[in-house]
Amino acid sequence: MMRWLLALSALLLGACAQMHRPLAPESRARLGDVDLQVVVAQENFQFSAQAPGVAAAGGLIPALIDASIQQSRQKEMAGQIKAIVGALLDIDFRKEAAVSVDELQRDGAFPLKLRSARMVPAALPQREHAARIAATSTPPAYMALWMQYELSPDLSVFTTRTTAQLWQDGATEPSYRSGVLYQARIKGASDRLAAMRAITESQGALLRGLMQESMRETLQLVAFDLAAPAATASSAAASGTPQKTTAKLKMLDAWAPMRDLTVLGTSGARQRLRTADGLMLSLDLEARP
Amino acid sequence: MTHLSPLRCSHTLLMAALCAVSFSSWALSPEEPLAMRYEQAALSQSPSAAQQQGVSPRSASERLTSNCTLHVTRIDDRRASPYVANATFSLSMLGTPLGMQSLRGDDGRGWAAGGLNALSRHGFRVQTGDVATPAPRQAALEVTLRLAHAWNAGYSLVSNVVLQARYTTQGGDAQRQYNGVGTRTNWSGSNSEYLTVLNLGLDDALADLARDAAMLCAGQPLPPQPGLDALSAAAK
Repeated sequence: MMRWLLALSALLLGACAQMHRPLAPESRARLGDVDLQVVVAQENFQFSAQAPGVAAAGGLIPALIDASIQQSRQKEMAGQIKAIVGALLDIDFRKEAAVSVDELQRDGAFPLKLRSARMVPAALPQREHAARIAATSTPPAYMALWMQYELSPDLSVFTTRTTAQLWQDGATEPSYRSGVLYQARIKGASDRLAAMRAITESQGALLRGLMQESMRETLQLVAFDLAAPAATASSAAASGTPQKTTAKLKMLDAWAPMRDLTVLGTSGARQRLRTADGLMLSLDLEARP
Repeated sequence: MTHLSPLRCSHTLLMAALCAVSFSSWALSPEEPLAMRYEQAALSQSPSAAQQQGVSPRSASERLTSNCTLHVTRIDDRRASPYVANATFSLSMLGTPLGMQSLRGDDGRGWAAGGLNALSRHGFRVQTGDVATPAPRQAALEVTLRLAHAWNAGYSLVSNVVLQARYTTQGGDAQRQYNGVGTRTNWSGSNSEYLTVLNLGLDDALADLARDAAMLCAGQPLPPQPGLDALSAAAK
């Protein structure tokens, strides 16, 4: 049991050290077409209450306390959840993501050449995943995006979190790995009721638009990162924008400042940034502290 | 604050060891579909045990009617996908998914039927099949399963279940949507735990359905459905 825990911990430590794995130049030189699979394994917005964090002190009892309090908060949220879940029932996460992927596939200027793109409702079972990776021994390469959609508990902010991994040449380890976080404020969300109305009116048009934009931003960031990581920074330098900046990010119901962010550029009303760990961010330009 | 220094990674290592139980929440067994069997697990236990599982003892076994027959004429499964659970592991709130597993369910209709049959605990006589015209103290019921999904959230498992119901009584037709939420502690992240939290979500949805069915059987009109309209009224 202890060896399992230590091995698991080592795995996770390794993971946190290598969450961002840039594409090596020799791998980039061999990168041609890519088969893309986007995994959106949720059927609705998964509103989850926050645990108080007592377990950070360590031990089983604090973990049980955290669990108990989290469940109480979850039950308190139940009424609010019910009101919004039903209203958003007909929004198809994967369909909205597919709209943006299709657009990018048709865009000749998009640097990532997608031979195919699939939106799937579940992560592949391990055997199939391994077989898919092994098939990259002959081109094309295979890229998997694991995407999560979130609405903050107060419904004021929409967030997606995506992990992108690329496999080439039959290698079991990905030649590229990165994370992208997209966050946007819900316009008109002055309070919870206003937010619900803004989200649900016109069959969720506002939310569908954000879903499409998040997919577009995510793929564009990944594609430019694959093409040449330095290119994203040099474009920022060429445009005269500052190299380092700060921003704020909403986590659950609290805004948190983020410092030491590298400016990658802007796209319309959005700023593209990178944390020191390599996580790429697409945030509202207004998200400056 | 977002820089993962070695010190922070060490802290993360300790957290990872402590959270082995939560990590195993994505230790689903996805190769086989989940046998979706409705069980009144919380109801067969003591009221305190039921509360621990997030079910109000009152709602679990409250007798809502007597001499009311529910004819379940149709059950449809219109979920967007057959997957009933996903477990995602991230290192922090800022992190993107490090791992993801999904669980397919096998028989949504049968599962919903099991829950509907269990409405007998509220005093209903539940029959399956068509009825030409419901007599007094009878209601014909068509149910559509629109959503049944569970996920891991910290130390908990959470589920959403949505049923759409169409009632036919002597007084006319009525349509309602019932959104159930279930939550429980995530001990091992096993398939059975996900099934339990799905059953809790179904119980929650059926509790509201049972109350409405009892009112219709008694010839009473249904109150406004909680939602944006109710929020708007409450806000005034």
